[in-house]
Amino acid sequence: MRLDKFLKVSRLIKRRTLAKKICDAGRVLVNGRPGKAATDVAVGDEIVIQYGNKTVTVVVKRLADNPRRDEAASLYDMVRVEPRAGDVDEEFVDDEAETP
Amino acid sequence: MDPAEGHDVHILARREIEVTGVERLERFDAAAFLISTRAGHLSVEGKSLAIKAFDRQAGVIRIEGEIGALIYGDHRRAARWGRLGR
Repeated sequence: MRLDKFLKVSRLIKRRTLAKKICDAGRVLVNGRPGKAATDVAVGDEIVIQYGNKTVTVVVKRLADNPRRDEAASLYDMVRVEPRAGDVDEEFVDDEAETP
Repeated sequence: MDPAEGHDVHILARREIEVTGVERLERFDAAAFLISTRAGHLSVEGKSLAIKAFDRQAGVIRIEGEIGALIYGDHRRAARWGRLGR
């Protein structure tokens, strides 16, 4: 599955525009290497997302094309969340209410 | 060693909670977090909850938001007041 699609269906990123933008800005690593929006992700891959206000690390657990809202978080295992040191980069904050 | 050793919970001014001895973050949303800890499943309920920090390796999670309730998995919620009434 495409990286930007996975970020969307898992609700790790709520806004489709941000999903693509954050990938193309090189702020999403897949198994340690910067991923592009079209990078293919598979179960077991480690994804690190450098949001504007925090860094989140997850492992892909399941792929599903359109999971129900309450199933979205079951597509990945949460591994680490670190508040971002220094100032917040508003451009890459996923500001919808219930981001992880 | 008591399995619950190293599992502590700190609530700070009812708007942040730190839990140690965390094994896995099972599920979470803005209203509830289900965490498996050395001392069993713990659910933290509240309003606009969000992860402030989490390190699965260190087994520590910090959640911010308005803390409402903490319930360990094996504790039957319904029984809590029944016995007091008799």
